[in-house]
Amino acid sequence: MIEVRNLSLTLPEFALDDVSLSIDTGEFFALLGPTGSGKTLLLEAIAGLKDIHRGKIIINGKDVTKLKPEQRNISIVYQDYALFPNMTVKDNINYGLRFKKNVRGAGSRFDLLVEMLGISRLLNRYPHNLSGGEQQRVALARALIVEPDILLLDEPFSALDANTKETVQKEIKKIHSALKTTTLMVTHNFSEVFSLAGKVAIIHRGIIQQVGSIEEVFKTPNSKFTARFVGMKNIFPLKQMNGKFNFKDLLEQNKHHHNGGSQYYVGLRAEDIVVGNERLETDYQLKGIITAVSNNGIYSEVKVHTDSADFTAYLTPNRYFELELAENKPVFLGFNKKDINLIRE
Amino acid sequence: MNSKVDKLYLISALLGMLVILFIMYPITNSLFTTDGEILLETLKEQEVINAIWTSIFTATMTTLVAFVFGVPFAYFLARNDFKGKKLVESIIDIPIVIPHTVAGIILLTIFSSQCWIGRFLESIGLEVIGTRIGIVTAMLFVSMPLLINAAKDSFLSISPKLENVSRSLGATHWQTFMYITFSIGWRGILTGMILTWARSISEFGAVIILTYHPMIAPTLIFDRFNAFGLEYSKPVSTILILISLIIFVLLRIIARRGVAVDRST
Repeated sequence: MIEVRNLSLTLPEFALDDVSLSIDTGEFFALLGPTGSGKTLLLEAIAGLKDIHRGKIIINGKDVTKLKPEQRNISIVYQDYALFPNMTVKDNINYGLRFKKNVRGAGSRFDLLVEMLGISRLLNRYPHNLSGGEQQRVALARALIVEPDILLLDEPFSALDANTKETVQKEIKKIHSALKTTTLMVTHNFSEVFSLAGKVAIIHRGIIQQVGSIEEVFKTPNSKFTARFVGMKNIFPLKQMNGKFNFKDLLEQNKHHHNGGSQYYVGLRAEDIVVGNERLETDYQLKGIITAVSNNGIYSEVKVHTDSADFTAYLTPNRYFELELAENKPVFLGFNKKDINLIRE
Repeated sequence: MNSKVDKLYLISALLGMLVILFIMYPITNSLFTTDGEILLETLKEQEVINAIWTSIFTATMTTLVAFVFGVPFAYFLARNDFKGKKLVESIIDIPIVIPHTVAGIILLTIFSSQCWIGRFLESIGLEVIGTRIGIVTAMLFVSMPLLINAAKDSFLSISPKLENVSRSLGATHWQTFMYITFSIGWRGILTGMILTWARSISEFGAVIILTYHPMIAPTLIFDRFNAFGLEYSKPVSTILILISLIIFVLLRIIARRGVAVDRST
């Protein structure tokens, strides 16, 4: 188990504030945050590459906070892979074994990794002759051959094209289920973690906003920021909406949330909003007028202006054509009670 | 061939040809107008052999000293930010803008018995003025910035992430420096060493003030020119040109071969 306790560090251009995380052995944990939210910094701090001002890092019960990077047994794979340009692929992969003599069965582990990642024909090449996906695989093999206690992945897919990304994602998943290496991945893309991670944490401006299972964070974001980040398109102040609808029972249910005087918001996913030409059978509904439509082939996005707020809804292309939607067309818009999220500021 | 000639490129190339001519004509002229027999005669003179050997020896020593002090410092500068870093970097560049005779004068001042440093060195029996140490000192002062800056640029071009990965894989900072940083950056450092060596072998102004005897080749050339005139100093110049060019080309080839080996697959 890896525990990060109350970690703080300040750099001229950035700070991490009181970050605490706990990752179970063998777990695939994703840290999500927009670009510039301090994710890479946190990884480097865990690996011992950046000095921290306060806090503790504990790996399997052992406090490693004061240990040098080479004493921690933590491997890191950077966004740009950072392969050693002066070494062949084979030498890159085996580099760590020069220093970690106690890795058991290094030879067979080498064969296993090379085979799983499909890089056997690249072994004598130099990094500058490899594609992005190939470099990524070599970097993974190099990081995993030393049997690290944790594998840190820094935006592993951001530099890959869509097809390669999918393949590498599958490979990482396969390798993780085979080796069960505890993994902490950082990314700014929520969709990247869906198939991979068990647990996620959302970080914003150096502060952890929410930690939980993917489902939990996706379905019940606890702040406006997280809600936006996980793709909640419709977020309105509760007061504004309560004037129009009677949200009394909703408020009753969430009574324990609703004190302290902080501002509350109502959040609705675009895919949970129903649009129709006639009255709908949803818990709440209202009339509006379409202000914009766009269609990307997989889903259609419809923006609807109503008296209470401007909504965004996702429809299947089929439904979209069925309803003959167009700009300036009046429509009915509805949603159900179960899909409403009450969000704190 | 492209029938349309770009005027800007044409003018630039013509100007460039003048530059090449300006450099190459005096050199080749010197090589071709020096009588071969006189050249051989000159090469046999003990005084000439001594001066050329002193030049090569002291320039090489200077380069080694600059390497030992300059490369670690360049690494430190490339990897650390601190208050006053800009100032430190400016200080390193000062010798480049000081006239070399002035450099000689200020060095002479501190190594003479007027200054405590000179008196201290004298007390432990280390003579600087009028010795090879004096020559190396003068050369070092004017040429060291070249090596430090070249090495620093070389280290800066290597991503610190490579070092981070190396360390997380179990290598100490020293091992990381040897296996990664230096292994990748040596070519830039070698280029800096070539520049330092070239700058040192061509140095005259600072050296002559600190150490007239033993003579380096430029001092000998100056000495002969003053005493006997152009005809007498020219053969030594030609020999120095030839030796400098040969060593320069050899080092260049080594540096380029490094590129070829690294790029091969």
